[in-house]
Amino acid sequence: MEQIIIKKTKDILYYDTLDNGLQIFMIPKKKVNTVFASLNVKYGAMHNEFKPIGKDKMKKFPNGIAHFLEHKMFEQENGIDPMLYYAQNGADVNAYTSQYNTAYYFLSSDHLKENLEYLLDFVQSPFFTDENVEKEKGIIEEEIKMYDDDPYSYLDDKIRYNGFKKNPIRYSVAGEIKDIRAITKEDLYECYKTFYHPSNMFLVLTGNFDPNEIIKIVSQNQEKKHFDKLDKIVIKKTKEPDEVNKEYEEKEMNVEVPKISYGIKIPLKNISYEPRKRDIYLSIIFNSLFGSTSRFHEKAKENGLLLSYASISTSYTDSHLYITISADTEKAEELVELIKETLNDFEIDDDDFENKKKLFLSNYLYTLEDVDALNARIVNDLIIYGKHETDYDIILEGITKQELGQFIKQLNFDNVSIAVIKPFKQGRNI
Amino acid sequence: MKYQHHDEQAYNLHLFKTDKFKTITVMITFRRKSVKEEITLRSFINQILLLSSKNFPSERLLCKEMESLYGPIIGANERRIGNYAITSFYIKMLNEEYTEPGMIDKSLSFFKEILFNPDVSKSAFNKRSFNIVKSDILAKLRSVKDNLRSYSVIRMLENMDSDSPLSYRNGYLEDLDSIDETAVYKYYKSMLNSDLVDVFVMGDIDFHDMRNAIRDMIPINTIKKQKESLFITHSTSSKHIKKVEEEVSGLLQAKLVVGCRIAPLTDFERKYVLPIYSDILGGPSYSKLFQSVREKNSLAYYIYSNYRRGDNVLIVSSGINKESYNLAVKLIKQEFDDMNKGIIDEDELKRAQEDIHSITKSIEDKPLRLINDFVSQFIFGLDNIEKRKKEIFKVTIDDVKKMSKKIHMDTVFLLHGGDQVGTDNN
Repeated sequence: MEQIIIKKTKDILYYDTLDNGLQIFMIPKKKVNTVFASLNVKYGAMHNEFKPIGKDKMKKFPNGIAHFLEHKMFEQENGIDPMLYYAQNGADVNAYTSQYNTAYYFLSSDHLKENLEYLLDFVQSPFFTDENVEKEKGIIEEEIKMYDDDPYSYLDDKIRYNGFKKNPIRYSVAGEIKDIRAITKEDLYECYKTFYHPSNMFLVLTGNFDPNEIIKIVSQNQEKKHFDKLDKIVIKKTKEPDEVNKEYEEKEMNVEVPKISYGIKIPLKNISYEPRKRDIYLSIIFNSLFGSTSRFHEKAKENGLLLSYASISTSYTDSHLYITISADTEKAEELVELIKETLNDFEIDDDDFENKKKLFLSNYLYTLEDVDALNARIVNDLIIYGKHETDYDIILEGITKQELGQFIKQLNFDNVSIAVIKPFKQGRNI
Repeated sequence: MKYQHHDEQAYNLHLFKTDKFKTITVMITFRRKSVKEEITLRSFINQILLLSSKNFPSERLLCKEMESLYGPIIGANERRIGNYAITSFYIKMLNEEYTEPGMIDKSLSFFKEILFNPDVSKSAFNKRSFNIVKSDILAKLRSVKDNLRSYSVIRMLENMDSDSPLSYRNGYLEDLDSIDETAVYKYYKSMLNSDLVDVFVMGDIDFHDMRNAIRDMIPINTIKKQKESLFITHSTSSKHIKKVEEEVSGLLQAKLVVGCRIAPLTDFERKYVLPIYSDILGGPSYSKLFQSVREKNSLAYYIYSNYRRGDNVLIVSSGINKESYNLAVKLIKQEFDDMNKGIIDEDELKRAQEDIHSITKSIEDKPLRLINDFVSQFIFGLDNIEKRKKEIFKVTIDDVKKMSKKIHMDTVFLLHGGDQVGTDNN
């Protein structure tokens, strides 16, 4: 087991890789009551065309299958419901699927050994039948309808769909109802066997525990199980053009306040900085331009163009980053114009630059005292960057105003997709 | 954790010393009896103070200053608990060993600047800030229907009892027009003069120094008392269940909300039995409702119950396919009946106890949750966390069964996307 001391706080990151390839990352916190444990699979909604294990040919699976699979892991052959199991131990268990990964996690304050063993056990024992797959379709269809009714999740899905032409990241995580209906238990087993191999998974623990104890529990559990050797997973690569799929779309929905999303598709081929540095610069730029300290924010608020805040999010693919700026606004056209102007002509002053750097540091420290946020951050770091960063002092030393200037020159903000949700013309129908 | 309470006459000071966190958190609460006509006006206060101050006369400048202080988390909220309106302001800041010496004092001064040195001239708030808050409030009030899950609960409560504070919204469009920057300032002054004020501080603090720091920070010196009981009591409890439907065109997933009135509870019931009851019936991870409505019958994606202690109300919320309305209502009633008859097994009870026990333990791991818990302990007269972790295991199935008789289903509300649903009135 290896360790890295986090200089600022003296916390320690422990990590190790078991014989079967399962990686474990841990930051213990002696003074808290709880443990947050997540078992993560490097398999998400965007990985829906690949060579299934033991096959030579690429196969395309219905959209939404990774999420469907996540639901189905909660069905066990012995009839024990993992929700019930954890509830009896006073723990909360849940799971999520994103474009990039699937995570199963629990938060508990007692019975850590059993809870951890059971996490490994239930995620490592699939049980799909025609009947239980059919039953799940009803539940997931309700979930999809719920997202479709929600203007924010509709907008999120739409702006990604219009931003990309080929990359499967354009499809929603849950899929559409017709996709879901096509899923079979054979599909699920194929996906499961390809991706749910220990060497394609990692475990993250944060909270009150002894790292040596954890390694012992997990190794003993894994030694009892047999896994076939896993060859390299081959996921279909798509050739994504720089242009967006659709530059503009609007839809009338049952809302009172219009909502917009402004997606900027940034090609990575011209950017020479490594991903972490690149994202720190991007975060400095976008927070300075659109955050609460920005001229944009001030102007938009004073002119009644913006309600609350503009929110920024990023989608990652191997060829492009897709940054979206979303907001509630009474004046959609004017706000879009202001965003365009802001991106065409900006400068970042020294105060802002230094302050944003301070925030990187303090944000990490705030995260370090919150077991769930810390766990999520480690998972996110590992998925996006392949490494959890613990020393922001060193990284931030390398972040300079001069380099920021060079970085900005490499950015191309020309490929834009805009989506707008407007209220029904004849007024709300209620 | 060491605790000190000081009656500073104009306010109560609660100091909690712990070395568990890397941060110090300060929370100030203002409260008074909730009056429907004041709600919209009051909702300006927590927003406008955070937009600008005398020395930082715009949000941009204010936020810039905040970032230069290593970004303390500053926030405010307005809520109603039972008969009271409560406005809270808080700041969470890093201990100086992680930032720079003097940062705590600087951050507290900044917090003082925001709360007590507002951007005011000629007895009125800055017009620009006022307009920003007004348009935000306007949009929030207009878009209340954009969040269907919470909107369905609001409408259910209004159907249940439109006169009681339990159905008050966060503000009313018709009140907004008459509010101006002078009225908001006048209300702000009245809050300083007449609201009950409590200050909570938590972190690795020196009791003596912190008490002095807070005294320097808070320029309030009026002494006040209020008699109004926190808890809402229900005058009537009819046997007839109200069934109400509303239509929102284009809605794919119908929202079914069931509201129950709770008759006066004993102290033990309110503190311990009610949480257990709601957890068994519709707790988050595993419950009678979840099993019956979602797992066995695939009718819903979500279904859960929660309770509002101050309001004496229990609410079941779910998202269903509207064709399943009658069946879903029948299943929900069935689960209430089982609770009533005490058809609860030991495992269900134990699970609920473990769940609440571990939720209680997890509160202690997060500074903002913990300080909010101190506020609730104080407001509701709850026991401290140590005691709660033990007492929860004293609840018996018989206690739950006995308390069930005090819970009366009152209103069944359905928000759906169109086409009449056949409802029976049994």
